[in-house]
Amino acid sequence: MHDITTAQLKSALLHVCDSIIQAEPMLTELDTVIGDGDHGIGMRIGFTALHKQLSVMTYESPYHLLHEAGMTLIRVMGGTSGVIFGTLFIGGLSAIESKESLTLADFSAYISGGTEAIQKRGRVNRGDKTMYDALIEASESLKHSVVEHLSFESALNEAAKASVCGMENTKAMISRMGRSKNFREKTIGHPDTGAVSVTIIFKALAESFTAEA
Amino acid sequence: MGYLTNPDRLTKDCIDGMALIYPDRVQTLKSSYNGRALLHNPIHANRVNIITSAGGLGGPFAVGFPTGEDFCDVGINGGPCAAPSAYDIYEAAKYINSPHGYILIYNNFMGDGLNNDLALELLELEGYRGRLVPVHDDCLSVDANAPRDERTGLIGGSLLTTKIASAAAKEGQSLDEIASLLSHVGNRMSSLNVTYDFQNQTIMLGEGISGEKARIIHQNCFTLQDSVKLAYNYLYQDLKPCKDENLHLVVSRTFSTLYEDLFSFVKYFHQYASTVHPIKQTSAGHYLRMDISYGFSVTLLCADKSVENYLSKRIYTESFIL
Repeated sequence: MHDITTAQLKSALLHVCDSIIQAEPMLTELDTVIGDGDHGIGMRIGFTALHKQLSVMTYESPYHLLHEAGMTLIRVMGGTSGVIFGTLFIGGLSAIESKESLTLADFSAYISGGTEAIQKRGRVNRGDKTMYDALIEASESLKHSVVEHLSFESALNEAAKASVCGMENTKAMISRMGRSKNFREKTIGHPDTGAVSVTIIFKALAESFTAEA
Repeated sequence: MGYLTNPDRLTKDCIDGMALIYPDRVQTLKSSYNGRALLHNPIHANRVNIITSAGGLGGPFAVGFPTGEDFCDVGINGGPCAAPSAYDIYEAAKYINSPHGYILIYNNFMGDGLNNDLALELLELEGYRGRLVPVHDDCLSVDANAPRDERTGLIGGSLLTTKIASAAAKEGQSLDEIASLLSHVGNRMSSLNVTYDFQNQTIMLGEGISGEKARIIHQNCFTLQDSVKLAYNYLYQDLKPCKDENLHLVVSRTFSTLYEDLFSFVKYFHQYASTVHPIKQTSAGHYLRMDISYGFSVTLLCADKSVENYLSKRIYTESFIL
């Protein structure tokens, strides 16, 4: 697979929504240990609304699809997750403006833009024990795959694996951001819940495009 | 404690109900996607507007704010356990359409900060002006040597900030003047939570609204008077009031705390404070959502002449007198 179309992207996003919705109990349980327990609920609400919207709407381009996806999450979710995951979807849009379909390089630039936007808005860095730790690994993996001329499905599988590594790394970190920072050393041994959600998103994307290939 | 209302609809249902009780004071935003904004009635688009937003562990904490006359112009609420969405803040501000701009007040938690920041960005893209005012009054939310602006916010700080902002806006102060005033207020205000463990006869200071453990635990005393002294002394040391500053007190009880204990706490706080630096004005509320703990959130504001004028008028709203 060389390029992905708007329809393929929409289908993949529907699978992402299903995966996040199914993961709500697990995300809630994780967030209750070192957070305030709202992450799973917020993600379920946001991605349920997104699923509903994607199911009935048609989109002209990947840009319109992803812009609407991001605005839906911001509109519906609230909390930290609404802004952060909304920013993930809209932060890199300038990289794909006017594209009718996306090459791996386009998609990588889009994810990279979203990742940078999250870093800027959330004032986060590697090692802060946030979703950024998983996302930056996935983003850099995609960039590497572009250089290596990997196929879309291989690149997404690699990105999914990289996000898992990033998420696993958060277990050894002490929270410095959000409410979980109040738990300090007690956060060691537990993954950041946002990072877990990032792994679910990339795993679902990889599954979608692997099935398509 | 659970809710009978579906949690996904809790905030909207609560707001719709309140609008039915106070039709002369508040209005809902009919076109709203989430229905989580409550606007004061009437709208004053001819001055700076004050928008206070909050989520809250147990529910929509800012929902009753706009019921007060000359208080908050808009209260934006998140769902249970979630900060309000940036879109709700943006949407309500856009509806008011004030050319004078918006003061966005929120407690200094990460989700609230991110959403207000994004809301302001969306508004600025459309030519509106605004200033972010994070409330950071919880003196026990961070280590003692941490900068004041890293503290999170509590109910009392949010109420006093909103009251002062609204009075200044009504007087016709500009966006920059109000933001500057509130920055000064934020540095002269301090709050903490006092909670009680009846089983172990223990007084705790600094228990967080999201279940964060208390930072200070006293096991050798357990009377209301003891807890008053502990709270006052801690806040006094944090603020070190000057002679020309008046102290303003806000006490809010948790939902599990008896009504009578709230007023007794206020009485003993006044009594003890009169021996050191008397309290000029006291406000009380029933607004703190710490469903398990028994206790209070206590706030002291040191008001100099530049602030005092904005505190004189009493505000009566749903659930508190300020």
